[in-house]
Amino acid sequence: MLIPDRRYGFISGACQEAVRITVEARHNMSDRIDEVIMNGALGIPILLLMMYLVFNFTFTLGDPPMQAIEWAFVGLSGLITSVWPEGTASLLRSLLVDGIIGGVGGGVVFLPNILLLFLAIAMLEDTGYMARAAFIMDRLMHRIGLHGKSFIPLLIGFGCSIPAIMATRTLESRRDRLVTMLITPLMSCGARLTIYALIIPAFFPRAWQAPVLWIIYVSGILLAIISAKLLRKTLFRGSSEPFVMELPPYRIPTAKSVVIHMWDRGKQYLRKAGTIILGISIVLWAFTTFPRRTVFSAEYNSEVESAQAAYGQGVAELCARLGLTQEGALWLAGALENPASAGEPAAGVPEQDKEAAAGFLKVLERLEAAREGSPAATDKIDPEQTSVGLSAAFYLDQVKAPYAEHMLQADRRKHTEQLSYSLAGRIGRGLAVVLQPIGLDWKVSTALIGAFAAKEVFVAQMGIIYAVEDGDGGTRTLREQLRADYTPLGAICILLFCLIGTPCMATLAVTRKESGSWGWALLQWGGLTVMAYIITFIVYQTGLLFGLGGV
Amino acid sequence: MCSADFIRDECQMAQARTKSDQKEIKIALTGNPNSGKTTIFNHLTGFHQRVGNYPGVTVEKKEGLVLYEGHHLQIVDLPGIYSLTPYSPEELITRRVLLEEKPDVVIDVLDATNIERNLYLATQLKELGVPLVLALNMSDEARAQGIQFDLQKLSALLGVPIVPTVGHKREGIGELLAAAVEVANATRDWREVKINYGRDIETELENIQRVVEEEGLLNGSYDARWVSVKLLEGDQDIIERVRADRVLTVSEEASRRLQKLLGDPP
Repeated sequence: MLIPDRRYGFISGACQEAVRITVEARHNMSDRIDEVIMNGALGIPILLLMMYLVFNFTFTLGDPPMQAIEWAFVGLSGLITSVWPEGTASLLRSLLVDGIIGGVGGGVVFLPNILLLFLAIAMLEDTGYMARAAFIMDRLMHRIGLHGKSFIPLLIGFGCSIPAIMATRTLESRRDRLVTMLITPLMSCGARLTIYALIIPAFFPRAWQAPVLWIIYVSGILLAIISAKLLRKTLFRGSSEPFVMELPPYRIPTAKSVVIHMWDRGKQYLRKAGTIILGISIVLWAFTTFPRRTVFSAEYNSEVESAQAAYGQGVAELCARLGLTQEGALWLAGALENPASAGEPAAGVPEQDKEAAAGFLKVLERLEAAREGSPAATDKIDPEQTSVGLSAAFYLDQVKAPYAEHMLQADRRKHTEQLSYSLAGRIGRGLAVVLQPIGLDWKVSTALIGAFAAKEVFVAQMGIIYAVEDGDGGTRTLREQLRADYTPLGAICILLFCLIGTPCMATLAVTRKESGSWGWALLQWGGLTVMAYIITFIVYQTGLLFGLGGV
Repeated sequence: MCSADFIRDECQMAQARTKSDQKEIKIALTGNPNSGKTTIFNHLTGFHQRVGNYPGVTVEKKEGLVLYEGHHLQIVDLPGIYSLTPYSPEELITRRVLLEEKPDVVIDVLDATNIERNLYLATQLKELGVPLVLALNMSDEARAQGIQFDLQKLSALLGVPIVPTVGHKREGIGELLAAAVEVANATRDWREVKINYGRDIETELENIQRVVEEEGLLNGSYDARWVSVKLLEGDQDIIERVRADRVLTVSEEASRRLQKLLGDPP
């Protein structure tokens, strides 16, 4: 009796709006539930509670599988790196690890959250609550020039714009439908959350992180409201015809229907991750890798040289402290550089040097272990006690650590040079001329090209740009590097631009399909990009005026 | 009083017959049993009724001819029914008349004190796509019961003109006729109403409708979406008349899928 039920839902919706029964109480089950849920005073608080539960459910339950996926991808790239034959085809390995796994992993990681959000929405839809939510929101939505039925697509927009834009099909009036479609990308989608998850913890203390995230989401909603009003006053003038919002009777949904409805929307997101993101990851990897630079700048070379010179001096001083002869010092230097292949000291090394050096290495090993590991080990070694201990501490703190630091910097310079030499770097620098007034440099500009393909690519792209392959990998190092490069003002600008600007390619395509013309798709794309630019410009320039610092 | 009415009506009828250039408007009257439909019919037609039977069944057929502002109206009183399913001869006849005789306008009489149940038929008529006017009958009694109507809004929502009437007091009959003639002359565009059956059913309907259109069923005289809804509902009359295996297979599969998915037959 599904079809008659729906017909009664239509009638029920029409009567709810146009017929008031003051005396005779209606009495079936659905009506009784509606008396509470659609109550004038309780309706909106219940709706807000429901939304809170949906998001809470999404993020709480989504976290463990998210971490598992992240862990699996990190493990996979680690595995590939470790089993890859040393020195062979490093380009192919880089493509696999940095390009494909990094790119697709960045996108897939968010799947649990998106699926859970869609699951929650499917449950609310299948029980019949969503129809009531649209009804409750109707008056509010009318005030911003939308229709109650716009509420559902906008809510889905927090997961992914693609199914959201497809969900606007329930809107009967073309005008309402187009306005809803055009502003849907302002609902911050799940893919954009990956960008916030990278940037916000890098720049804001823990207590500030949640409020900043909240501000970003609310900014999107406010901008959507303003845009809707603006569109209503310009392109879509005139009042819209009322139409019935069906209130089908409440049902207990079947597990099958809920899962299928979740999957319906989830697969569109996954398809994007599987095709667009995969393809774009490869293209972007190539863009950042080619053309390869073989000759690096004088600064890089001198940096490496001076680091090596300083290291050499440090080792010489260490050997003097230990009282080694020249032969002994030579052997120790080799052993320090490569402990595994040092082997037995050569014949020419005096016996007392052998003893001193071996003793030193032993203490050094224990000291290193103590510093890295358990505090229990520290008790056994007190570097202050013995002169060998003091020498080991000297080597670690004043020779080895500065050297590593120097080399890391030199390496970073090398990567930066490679990157800015590459195609992506060149395009990014070209874009940066335009984006510089809104606080975005060429690296962010390059990543934004990736974000146009799919928002999740931004994070992967930043990762490739910062060439974390030589570090530990993962976002922790990336965050530290970001902190060194940008100020919190710059970070806010990145967040804002990603929130508002340049809807992804898939959104563009689906808007084109659903609106029936490239015109609307391009209007959406251009309008949002211009809006992003203007708002970020204002924020950045105002921030500079107040001395908050730039890039 | 009555005889004066009678003479005037006779006179009008005679005029109507001579004016052959005047377009004849065919009006069908539908409504739930006990909605006051017959009272309205009597008011509309006066005493110019012809009572007969529909061929083959014992369902009474009442017709009347009226002249209204130069229009020659032929009014058919259809049997009282609750729904447009083919479960009773009354329902079947109503449907055949609506679909095959194609009246210029259908007046659906609603019992205002029982609005939701009465709108069920109205909704189906609107879905069928016939030109429709709603007579909100017994509106005085509804008001006395504390039921308030926002007629403007209800009319806008349903995409149908609504005229409040009080049958036994003859209130609103003139307005009802005026509205009916206006709809018949299509002087105003009324919005098409499409009931949204929800994503799952809509998806299946799209599939069936595509096949129905491809096969060009029922000479295209029936709306393809309507035929699809009826097939999905398992409407025996339509199923028998469709007689295209491909369409039936598609709709049966759709029905089975929905039953499995939602746990209920469509």
